[in-house]
Amino acid sequence: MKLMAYARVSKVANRHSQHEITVVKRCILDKRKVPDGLTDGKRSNGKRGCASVRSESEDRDADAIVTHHETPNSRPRRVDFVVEFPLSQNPSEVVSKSWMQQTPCMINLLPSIHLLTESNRLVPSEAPVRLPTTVLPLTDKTPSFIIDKKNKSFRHQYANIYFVRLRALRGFVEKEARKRWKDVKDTTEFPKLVPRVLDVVKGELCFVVGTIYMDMPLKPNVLEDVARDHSIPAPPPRTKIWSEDDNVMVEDESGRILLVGEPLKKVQLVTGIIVGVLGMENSSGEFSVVDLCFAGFAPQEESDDGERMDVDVAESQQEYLATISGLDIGPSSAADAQIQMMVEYLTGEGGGPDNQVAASQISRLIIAGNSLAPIAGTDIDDDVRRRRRDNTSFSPHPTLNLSAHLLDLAHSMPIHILPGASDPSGTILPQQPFPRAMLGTASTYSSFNCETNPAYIRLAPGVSDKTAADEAEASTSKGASSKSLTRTVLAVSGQTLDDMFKYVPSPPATRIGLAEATLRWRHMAPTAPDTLWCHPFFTTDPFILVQTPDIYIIGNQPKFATRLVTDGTRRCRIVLVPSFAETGILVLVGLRTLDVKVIRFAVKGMGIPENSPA
Amino acid sequence: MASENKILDYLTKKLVVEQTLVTFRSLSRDLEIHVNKAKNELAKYHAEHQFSEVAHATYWISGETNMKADNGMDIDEDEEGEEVTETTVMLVEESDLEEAKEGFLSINAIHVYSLSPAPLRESALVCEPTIHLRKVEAEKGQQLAKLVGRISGSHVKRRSGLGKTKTLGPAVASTSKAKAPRLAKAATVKEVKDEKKDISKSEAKPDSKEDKPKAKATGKINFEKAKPKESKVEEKKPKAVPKLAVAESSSKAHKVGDKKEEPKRGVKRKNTVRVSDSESEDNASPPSPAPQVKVGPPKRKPTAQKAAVQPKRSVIVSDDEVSDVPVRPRVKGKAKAVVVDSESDTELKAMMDLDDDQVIKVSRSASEARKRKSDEDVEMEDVQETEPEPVIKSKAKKATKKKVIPVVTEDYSSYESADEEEPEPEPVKGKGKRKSTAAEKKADNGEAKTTSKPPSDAAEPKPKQKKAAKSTGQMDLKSWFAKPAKK
Repeated sequence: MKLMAYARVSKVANRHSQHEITVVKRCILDKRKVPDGLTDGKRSNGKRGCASVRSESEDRDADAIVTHHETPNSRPRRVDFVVEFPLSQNPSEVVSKSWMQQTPCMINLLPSIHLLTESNRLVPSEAPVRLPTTVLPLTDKTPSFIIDKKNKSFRHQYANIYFVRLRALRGFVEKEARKRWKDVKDTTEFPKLVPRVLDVVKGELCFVVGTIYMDMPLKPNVLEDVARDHSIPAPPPRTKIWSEDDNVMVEDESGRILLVGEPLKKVQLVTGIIVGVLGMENSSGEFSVVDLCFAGFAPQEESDDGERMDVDVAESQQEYLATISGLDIGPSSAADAQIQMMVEYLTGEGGGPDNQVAASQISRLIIAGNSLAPIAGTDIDDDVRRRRRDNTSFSPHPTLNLSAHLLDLAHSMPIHILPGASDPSGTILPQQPFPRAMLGTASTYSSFNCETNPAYIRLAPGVSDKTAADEAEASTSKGASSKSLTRTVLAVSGQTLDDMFKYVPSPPATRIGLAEATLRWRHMAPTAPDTLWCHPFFTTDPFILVQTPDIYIIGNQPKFATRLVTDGTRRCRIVLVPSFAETGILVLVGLRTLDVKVIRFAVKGMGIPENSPA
Repeated sequence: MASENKILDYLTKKLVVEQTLVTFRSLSRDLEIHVNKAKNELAKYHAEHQFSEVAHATYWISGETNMKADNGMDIDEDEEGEEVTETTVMLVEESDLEEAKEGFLSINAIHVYSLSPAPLRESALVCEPTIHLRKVEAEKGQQLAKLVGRISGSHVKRRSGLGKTKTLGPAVASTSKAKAPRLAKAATVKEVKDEKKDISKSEAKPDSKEDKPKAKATGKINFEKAKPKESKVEEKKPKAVPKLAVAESSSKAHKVGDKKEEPKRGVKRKNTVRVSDSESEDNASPPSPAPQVKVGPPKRKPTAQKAAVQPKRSVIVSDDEVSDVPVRPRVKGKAKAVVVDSESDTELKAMMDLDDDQVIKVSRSASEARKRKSDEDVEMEDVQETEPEPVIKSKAKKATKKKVIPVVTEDYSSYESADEEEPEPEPVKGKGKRKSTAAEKKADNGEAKTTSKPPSDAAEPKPKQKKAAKSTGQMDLKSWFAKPAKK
């Protein structure tokens, strides 16, 4: 039996105009009335008319079978010729040989016709193999966020965090400040560092280093909460706590001083960042700011500096890191089909051979939070429950649903899953990893990792050392370069950025800008003890960025955005990953070149809010 | 070609007879062909049947779109700066195909995603076959994945620490199956039943239909290709041991062992004196720690030992027997159930889970009853009785435990990991105490109590209990010796 392919040749049948014919992917025939006297159909296979294509197509000897359909109401009148031909033949040849000779036409063969017929048919003799990457152990500079027994106590005051933070970053800020302001000539020579905020002398240019405190009237306030009339439901939390009346202060162990001045309006500040402020105290006791400075980028792991040239060479064969967030699997998730498509894409089953090769380059997947939808109110729950009874096809348990998807993926690739705001995990940062058992069989894979919410993942393209050594013999250059290349990934489920974003007026400020700023501040969650809940760490502040990550992934953002931040030799790829349930977006980051690709999964015309481009 | 016919048959059956949706994945999984081939087959089928309205296609298109144009419009145009190549993967119903294609700048893949008896209007429907697929996948394991074309890599690994033998077999077995036990754990036994019904309802309906054709189909393919042995095995005894294919050899051995053992136990029950039998029944549920060590010989020994012991225990017998009454019907029920469900191994498995719970429950209830008695009795009797008792007890327990375990352990592993393994000495202790005292107990009035009590306690049993009992091998001995000292 011959495998047949189909093409549709549309012809604008404006009799006197020139014929333009395009061969579209494959014919889609509605049962429209076929006019009699089809000369074209006759020509190709010697039969007249094409009332029944089935019967004609049994005539296997024909080079191509052309049938003729007319769309009655289209204007200009449009006639479709369906060309059916054996797969062994090149479609364009067939068409021109059997039919086109008589009618001078132009044929556009879309590349898709090949994909449908020729290449899809090929079952790759060798299944593509996923490019390996290895997880390296964490270092001191990229600490684990697991709260161990030692730190488990909740007894400590949050003040410690500020103290530790100031102590840790003060040195860097001072150094940066001296560098930045060494040319400032005012009354005397170099502006003086005043070690304690309260020791600032009126009218004398100096700089102080301290922690920013934003005094904001709209900030949630415990006292207001207590005084509130509880018979009235609480107002929903604000999306912005920024207002015109905000006061910016800088504080250290000694006290606070109010900052005023134009420069404050040019930068976005949030509570908790360590800054150096240049200026002088004015007559009313405020500190009028001339300039501000931050700690600046933290150093980066050295190992890959020398490798950059090699790295670019390897672009075509580089490993990708897929990230995704906000699967929002709930009792009734709208994105079921998209999730399934995503799984199929990543496992290399969906799509054409090109897709499959691309999928094999994706080395691992990071799920940055909100895998499960927030639990809805009881009213909705009842409703859903009722509906569920009708619809037996879906498991009523989102967790099972999630773990089933994870298992599908885990068969095929390593996964790192982070808890997020809507997940069943603690609210305070750092969120601790999901219990593995919760996610079912996927957890039997050692390559399936439950991570903390902010999480550092250190990756090295290539296989682990032992096998790498073997491979190195085979291909020395490649093995060598891949061994020394390490990438530090910092993944966050988005709460840090969401919280900071409340502090700043958003027309000038953007999320990507803030994300970049956190790198300059050397702190990923400055608002942490203030408006962002976090664990009362006593001796450390793990959110300080001791080292600039290579890839900084922030999940659950409203929109996709990315930026490659460079500072000297340091570079960091920031990626804001949007919610998958809303956008269907999967982001790929190249581990060698740090380039970014976006893959969007959508359905069209199926009763679901469309994500389609058109 | 035969396989072509089979594909045709399969599709016709699905679409025309069952009126269900077929995705390229379900086709490839069920017939064990590569996904790319499956896509083509779907396209072919669709093309051949386009006038009969049998099948409506849904397409997968992927390519570059002109998203950037409408994307960058916002305020943060400059902020977002970098433009990124965006690939869109879209699922499109046949009638929208042309329109959808216009939205693409370039298309790099397009293929039939699924065929359905009616035009697809609700995208979530394409997920429907996956539930079944996962089961198939779990049964056939990695082999299928390779056949079907799933990408994997050297860095995708199973956890090595997880005990290849037990944990893996059932764990692999299937997600859907795993669901049941997991739920069961959380819920009470009754709920477990309900749950099972639900699940089986939802899955069994479509699946039971699908199972048969599939099994047949795979069999054919395999014979033709003379492919993996496992599938042949499946063919021969599909209901009993399909799991084997997945399970590793050691676990296989276990499994077989289990199966053999069960009937034996039944036989023994009839042969041996009732006393010992009931005794074994009680202890049966607690799994022993080391099933592999000596499954064969010890099994027989215990009965002999018991027989020897009997003179002493004869008095006790009545007591135990009575308390065991509820056990027997249960056991029978189990056997029946298994027979009934043997059509699909899933259900059988589920059943076994269920039964274990029940069995435990029973033993628990019995012991509970005894405990109550013992509370009354301990004071008066403990002095004389303690000395001989420990010996008997330990022997009996050891022996019986060994017999039954494998079933239980197997189930456990399917859904649990390390944390539950902590020994919980208390129930054991209690048991030891109960039993000894109960055994010595001669009062007739106790019997009435025991019989009446079990049902009320029956609701309580938890899977945990099993574990506790399991880990107790030596523990209860110790506790036993410790007790007299206290007193």
